[in-house]
Amino acid sequence: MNNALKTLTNGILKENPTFALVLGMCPTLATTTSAKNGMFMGLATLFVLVCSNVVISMLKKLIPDKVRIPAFIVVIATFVTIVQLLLKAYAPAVDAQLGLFIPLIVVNCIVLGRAEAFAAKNSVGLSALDGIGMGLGFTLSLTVLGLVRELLGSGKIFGNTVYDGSYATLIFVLAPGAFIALAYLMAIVNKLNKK
Amino acid sequence: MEKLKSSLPNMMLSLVLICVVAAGALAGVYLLTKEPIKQQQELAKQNALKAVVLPNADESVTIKDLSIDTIAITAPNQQDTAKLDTVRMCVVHTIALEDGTVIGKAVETGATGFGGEQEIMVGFDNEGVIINYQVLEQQETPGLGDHIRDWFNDSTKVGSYILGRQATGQFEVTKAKSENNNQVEAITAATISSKAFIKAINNAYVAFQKSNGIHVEAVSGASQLHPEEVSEEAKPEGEHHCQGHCQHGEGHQCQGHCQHGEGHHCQGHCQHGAGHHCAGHCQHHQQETEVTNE
Repeated sequence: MNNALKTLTNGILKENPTFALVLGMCPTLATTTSAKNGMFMGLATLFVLVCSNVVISMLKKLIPDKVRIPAFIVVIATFVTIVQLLLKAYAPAVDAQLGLFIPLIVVNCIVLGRAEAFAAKNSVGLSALDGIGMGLGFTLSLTVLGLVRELLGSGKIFGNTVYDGSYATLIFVLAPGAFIALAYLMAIVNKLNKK
Repeated sequence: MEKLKSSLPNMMLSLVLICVVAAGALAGVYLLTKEPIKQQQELAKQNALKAVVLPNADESVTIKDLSIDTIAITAPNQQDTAKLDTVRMCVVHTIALEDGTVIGKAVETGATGFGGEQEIMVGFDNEGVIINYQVLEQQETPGLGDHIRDWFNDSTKVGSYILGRQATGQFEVTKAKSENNNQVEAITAATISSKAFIKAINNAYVAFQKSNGIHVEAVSGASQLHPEEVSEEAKPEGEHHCQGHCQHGEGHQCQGHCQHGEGHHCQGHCQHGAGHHCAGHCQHHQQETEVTNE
């Protein structure tokens, strides 16, 4: 039980995929122009991560070592496509916002990384927990990053105006601001983790 | 159960099996979501249509899409005016109220912006006055170019407000103050996105006129010549009406202003190459280069 709890909470701070493991930087930098975008991207990844972790840990005995990477990718890509179709059908607004980035989850190294490092070696239950923990950690860090960038860059939090947007520092919505904000947040998380 | 050895049959078998199951799952999900996706797209299009021709109507008002025409227009190449024109397909929806009264047309068109294609839908009333527009798709820079969604329909910015303006196909972007109907103030720090957007509006008007049977070939030279004038008058040799061909290349003295009033003749083909003269009253700014074409 202790083990399970540890697996679940691992991803949130100590092995946070974004700030500690530094995995999946492409969607992290590209989608976090606002807190909402970051959150939805994180949730979509969470879903894929849990599903692929579960399936891969179930199949781990059936997949010979030499072909494990293509097998994992097929499993991951299948779930990503399912997410994409579901979003298109039932949440078109989210799809319009994130449409471009959803297929990128396939190559998100967190998903493949966890499949390889965790799901291929552990039981189904633990793998599911690991997926949830890592997914939550990813969602959390993307939301925080999006929050910071949205607040500094356009004067809003989750789309609600906090101060006049014309005083905002536009660079934070653009690519350089993503790096700057990410670096500062990473420094803070590292400091917290060291204690 | 032991983990499978990496022998050739094992590898093939497991990969084939995984792929077959994955393909089956995808086919199933695709079939399940096919209908809802189609409905969502229809709904989105319906909402956009209504938003551009009847922006203030409440939900109970329904509109009818009387006809959908796909019209090809020739749009000047945006990046380089010396290059060939591009053909752009525009979709023109004729919109009527439930009782059959035609209230206007909605045109789907686009232009190449800073980050990629801008797809917009523009609503015109029967006279060609812009009712509203919607950006269907765009990849402009967040915080800069993506203001095309809310910049040109913000009534507090008079110089860049295009709703209610009579479209002429000759809107042009200005960085200074807008002085007439055709000048539209650009988005601050996003001139390329603004130009592309205005270009798309001009494209839309050309398609709109074409769907009304008025032959207008090019964007910035879009002519409002009365159609009968074009067709009925015999054209003397070497004396062509300027039908909005006046836009390509430099050195054109006819800048597509040949539209107001009758009796303007454009001598020579007002297109391709230098040295064209517009005889008659090609009024306003001769010798200037066309801003919207840059």
